[in-house]
Amino acid sequence: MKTSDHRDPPGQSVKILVAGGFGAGKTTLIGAISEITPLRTEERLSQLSTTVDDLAGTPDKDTTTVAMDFGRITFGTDVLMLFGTPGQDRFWFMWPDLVEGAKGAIVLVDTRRLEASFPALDFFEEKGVPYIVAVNCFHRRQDFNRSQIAAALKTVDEDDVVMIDARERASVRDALLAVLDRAISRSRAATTA
Amino acid sequence: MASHRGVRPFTWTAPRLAAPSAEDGRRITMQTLIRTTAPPDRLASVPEKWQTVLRLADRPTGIAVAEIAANLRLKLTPTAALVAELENRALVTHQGLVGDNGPDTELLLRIRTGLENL
Repeated sequence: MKTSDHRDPPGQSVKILVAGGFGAGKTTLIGAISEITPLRTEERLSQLSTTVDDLAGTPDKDTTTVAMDFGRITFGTDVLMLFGTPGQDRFWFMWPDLVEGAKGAIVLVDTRRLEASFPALDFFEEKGVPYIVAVNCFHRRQDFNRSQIAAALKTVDEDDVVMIDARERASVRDALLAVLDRAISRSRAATTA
Repeated sequence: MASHRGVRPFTWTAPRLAAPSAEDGRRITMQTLIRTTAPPDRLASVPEKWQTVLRLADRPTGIAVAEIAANLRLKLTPTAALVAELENRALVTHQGLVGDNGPDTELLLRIRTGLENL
């Protein structure tokens, strides 16, 4: 193996977002495949676009701290980075840096609260970020099939719905492969355009 | 609490991670990989917090700004500012300086192959 030369540039990174409501399993998913224990990274955002009642009882009315999970997998000098979005949509939707440079996204949905994923789906659609919908099925059990879930999500194609167990590495890997396939198609289309 | 008055660091909706640059590719983001370029003998002469970053980033792939932030227990914006300072002093280099913002199909394909072989 080549000795690391200190003048060499670092590797290249690919950023994938993991979105989903509180308790949908984002941290679990990242932890299942990351080579490091997921880290918690914070940023401070202003609350300009939140409504007055959101601020009730908040000691600092100007800013709020958002936290995301970070995990990575290294392949040679390439690094796949996973960023778990903060639990509350209204905070990360006004965080342009979070979505900037993202090559794709996984939207984790809980079939008991499908509507909770609508804002994230609309957001990625609007930002042009390729995404898949991952339905977390503990022990591979799910009462609905992909077609039913796609129909319930309205704008989503059945092919973009994958059934996963967020605790299983192989299952999470397959979901990431599905996201990468969409990112690769997007990149190829941009190259030939 | 009162110490914040008049010293509000961020008054915009979402802070940019570093001063916006004309060459946007040079911008330091949460996913930017940072790599130490300083020879090990320079470590002793820099502040402790910088040393931590230089140790974290002393690997061929480099380390993400998000990961440095988590390790230092700093928020992203001050972490990016710290990294920019280290870059100014030629202690680190980063992905944005490589200037590779072209089509990334090859990179995505390599990552895909890596994942498949996991």
